[in-house]
Amino acid sequence: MTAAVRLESLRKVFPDGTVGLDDVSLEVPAGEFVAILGRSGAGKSTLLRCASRLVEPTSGRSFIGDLEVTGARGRALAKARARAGFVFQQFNLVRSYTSLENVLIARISHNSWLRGLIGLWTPHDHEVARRCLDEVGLSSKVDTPVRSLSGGQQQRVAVARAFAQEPSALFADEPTASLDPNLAATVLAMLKDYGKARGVPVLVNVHTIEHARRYADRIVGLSAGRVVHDGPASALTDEAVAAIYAAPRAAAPEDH
Amino acid sequence: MTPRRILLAALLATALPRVGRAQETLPPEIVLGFNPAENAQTLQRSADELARDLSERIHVPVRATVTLDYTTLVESMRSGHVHFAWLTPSPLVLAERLFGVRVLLTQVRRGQPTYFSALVVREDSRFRTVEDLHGGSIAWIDPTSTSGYVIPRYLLLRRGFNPSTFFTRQVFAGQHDAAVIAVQRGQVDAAAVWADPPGEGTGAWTRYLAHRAGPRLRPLMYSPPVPSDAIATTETFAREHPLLVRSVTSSLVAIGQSEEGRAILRRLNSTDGFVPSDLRQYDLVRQAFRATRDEQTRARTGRFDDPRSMQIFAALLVCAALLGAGVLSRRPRAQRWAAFGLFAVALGWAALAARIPMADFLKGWGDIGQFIRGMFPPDRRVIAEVMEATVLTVRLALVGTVVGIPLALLLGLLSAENVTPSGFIRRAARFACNLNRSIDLLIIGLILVSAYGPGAFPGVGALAIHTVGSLGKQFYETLETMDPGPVEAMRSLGATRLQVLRWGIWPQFTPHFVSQALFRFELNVRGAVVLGLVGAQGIGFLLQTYMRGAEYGKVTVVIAAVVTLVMALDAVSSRLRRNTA
Ligand SMILES: Nc1ncnc2c1ncn2[C@@H]1O[C@H](COP(=O)(O)OP(=O)(O)O)[C@@H](O)[C@H]1O
Ligand SMILES: [Mg+2]
Repeated sequence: MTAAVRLESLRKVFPDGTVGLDDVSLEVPAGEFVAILGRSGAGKSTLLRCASRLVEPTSGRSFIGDLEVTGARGRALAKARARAGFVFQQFNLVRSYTSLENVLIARISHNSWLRGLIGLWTPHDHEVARRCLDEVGLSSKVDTPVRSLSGGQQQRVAVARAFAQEPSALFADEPTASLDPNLAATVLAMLKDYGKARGVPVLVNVHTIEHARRYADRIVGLSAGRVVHDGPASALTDEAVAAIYAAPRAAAPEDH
Repeated sequence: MTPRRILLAALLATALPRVGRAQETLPPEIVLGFNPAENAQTLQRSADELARDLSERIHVPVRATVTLDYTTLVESMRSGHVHFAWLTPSPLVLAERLFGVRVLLTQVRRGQPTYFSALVVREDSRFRTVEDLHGGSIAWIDPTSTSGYVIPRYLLLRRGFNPSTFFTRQVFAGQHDAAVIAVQRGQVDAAAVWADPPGEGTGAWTRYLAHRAGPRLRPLMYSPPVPSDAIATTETFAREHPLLVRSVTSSLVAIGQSEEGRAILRRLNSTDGFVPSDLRQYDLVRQAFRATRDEQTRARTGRFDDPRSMQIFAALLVCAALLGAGVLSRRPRAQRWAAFGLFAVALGWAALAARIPMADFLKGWGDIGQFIRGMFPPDRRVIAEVMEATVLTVRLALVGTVVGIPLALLLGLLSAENVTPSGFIRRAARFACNLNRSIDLLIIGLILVSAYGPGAFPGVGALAIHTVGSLGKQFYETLETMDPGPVEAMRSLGATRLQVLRWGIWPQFTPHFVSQALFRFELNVRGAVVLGLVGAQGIGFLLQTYMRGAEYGKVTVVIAAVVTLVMALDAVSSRLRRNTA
C-alpha cells in the first residue's frame, strides 16, 4: 500500500535566514494517526504548512496520495491544497458567520469557481455540512453565529469544516492548545475516529505527551527542523521524550 | 499740531465763512476705499496715485485701500476704517440701509453721470424679445452688481416676470467678462451687463469680446439711465469733519479738471471727473434694490470662481508643499534644521501678509459684535429657501459619496498587502490615493467649477474625487489590520485569490466598510456646504450670497440650518454605526 502522505527532503529557509525545516522526509500510510512532538520553534507548524503549501518550501517534494502538491501552480495549486484538511490552533473561523455558513465554505473546492465565489451551495453541500456538524456534536448550534460559541465549540466547528472538505489527509496544528484538557481529548478523538473510518492519514502537532501516547499510532520527534525520533507510540520511552525536548545542539562537530 | 496741520486749519479758515469750526480735529490720515474691479493690482496703483494727488491738495496724509468685496467696503465705512468710499450704486444703497451715508459726488464717464444696463444674447439666437427668454438661463454678475443684477432684475419684475420662475437656471458669473463669455460659449442664454448709451450698441459684450473669436452678442433690452459711481462718506464723519469733507469734495472736482488729474482718473474705471450728486438720481437704484431684495428669491444659482481666491489657494498650496517637505525629511539633523528654518521664514513672511496691529485687532472684535447684532432677529422669510438648499446639499453629498465608494474600494483593495500580492500594483494604487488625497476638496471644487461652470456637477464631482482618495487610503489601512487567520483557513480549503478575498477578508471588513463610508458621507455633507462658497450649489452658496449682500438676518437662518444638519447627521450616523459594529 502506497503512503497517503509522503514528504521527500523538505527544506524551508525563511527570508531572514532562519532554517525552519532541515531535510525532513516522512511517509504516513492511510489511516495512521501521527503525533508530532517538539519544543516550541522546532519546526512543527512549518512542517505541516510546507506539506500543504500554505508556506512555500525552499526545496523538497510533498505528495498527498499520488498528487504532488509541490508541483502545482495556480488553480491546480488551490485544488492540491484542498486535498489537505487543516485545523488551526486559533480556529480561524469567520466569526460573524453561523456554524453552518462556516462549514459550507469548506465545499468550495467541490464547486465551480463562480459558485464558490458567490456562495451558491448545492443541497448536497448543505447535507454534508449538517452531517459534519452532527459528527462533532453541534447539530443544535447550526444557526448560531460562531462568535457567540465557546472556544471548544468553535474548535469543533473548525473540525467539522475540515471534515466537510472531504480531504485526503488531515493536518492539525496544535488544535488543543487553546482548550481545556477534557475538550482537547474530545477533539483528538474526533480526528482519530475520522481518520480510521475514512482511511485518511492524520498528522497532529501536540505538546502534551500523555495525549500523544493515548491517541497516536506513531510519534515523530522534531528538533531544530530535523526528525530526531520516529517510532510507535507504545514504544515511546521517557529517554526518547527527553531527547526530543533536549536543547538542540548547535551545529557543532560530534564528540569523539 | 504739526505746522502743516496749522497751515491747513488756516487755509480752511480763510476759504470758508464759519471761522469757529476751523478748530475741528483732523484724523491722522484719511482712508479712501475702493471696491475691487477686474484687476486689483493696477487698481491699487491708480488709487495710490489719486490718494497722493489728493493728499498734496488737502495737506493731510491720504491712503488708498482696495477691499476684497463690496460688503467689506461698506462694513469698513460703518466701522470707521474707511472715511471716503468710491461706491457703485447698489452698495451705496446697501450702505444707506445700514447707516447714515452722505453722497458727495457722482462719477462722470463719456461726459455723462449715468450709464446703462443691458440684457444680451447671442446674435445667432432665436431670442427677439425678453419674453422669448422664458424658460431659458441667465448669467447675472453678483448680488450687489447694479447693472448686472439689481437693475435688470427689477426691470423684469416690473414687466411682470419673476426672474426666479421666468428662468429655469440663474448663475452668478462674478465678472462682466465671464458673463459675456458664458453667453458666447452657449453656457447660458443671456447675461445682464453694463452698457454704453443705447444708440451706440456697445458695452461689456463689445469690450470683452473684441479680441475673442466666436459668435457676436446683441442687446435685447436696455435699462433707463443709471447713475454712475458715487463718492460717499458717513453722516457721522461729515458731521465731525465738515471742513475736511468740503475740502476733499472740492479737491476731487478740481482733480478732474486738471490735466494730470484727469490722466489718473482715466485709469480708474475710465472716469472723466466728478460732479455734485443729484440725490434723486439714485432713487431708481433704491427702488430696484428694495424690490429685488424683498422678493422671495428661490436662488437656483451658482457662481463662477473668483480668480482672486484661485491665487490665494495657490499660495496656500505652496506653503503646504514647503511644510510637507520639512516634515518629510527624516534625514540628517542639518536637513531638519534647514527645513525648520525655511518654515520659520515662510511663517514670518505669511505673518507679514496678515498685518495684525493690536489696535485694529481689538477694534475688529467690535465689528464682529456689530455683525452679530445684525444677525438678529433672523429673517424668517427665507426658511423655505434655506431648507430647500439644505436638502440639495445633502443630495449632492450623497451622490458624491456613492459615486466615489466603488473606486475607493477598488483602490483600497489594490493597495492592501494582504489582498494584492504585486508590490508594483500596490505602490501604484497607493500613489493614486495619496496624490488624490493631497489635493484639498476646495481646490478640486475650484478646478471643476472653472472647467464646467458653476452648478451641481462640480460639487458632486469634487466630492466623488475627494472620496476616492481619502476613503481609499482608509480602506487599505483597515484591510491590512484584518485577522490573517481566516485568510489562511480559506487558502487551506482550496480557495482562489478572489475567493479568499470574499470569504477570508470581506466578512471581517464589512462593518468597518459601512462605518467608514457613513462617516465619509457625514464629512462630505460638511464639504458640500463649504463647496457652495466656490460656486457649487447648495446651502454654502446661499450663505455666500447673503454675506455679500450684508443680509445678516438671513445668514442667521443659514447658520441655524447648518448646525441642525450637522448635529442631526452625527446622531443618525453614530447610531447606524453602532448597529453595524
Ligand atoms: N515567517 C517566518 N519568518 C521567519 N522565521 C520563521 C517564520 N515562521 C517560523 N519561523 C521560524 O522557524 C522556526 C520554526 O517555527 P515553527 O514551525 O513555527 O515552530 P513550532 O511550530 O515547532 O513551534 C522557528 O525558529 C521560527 O522562529
Ligand atoms: Mg507552531
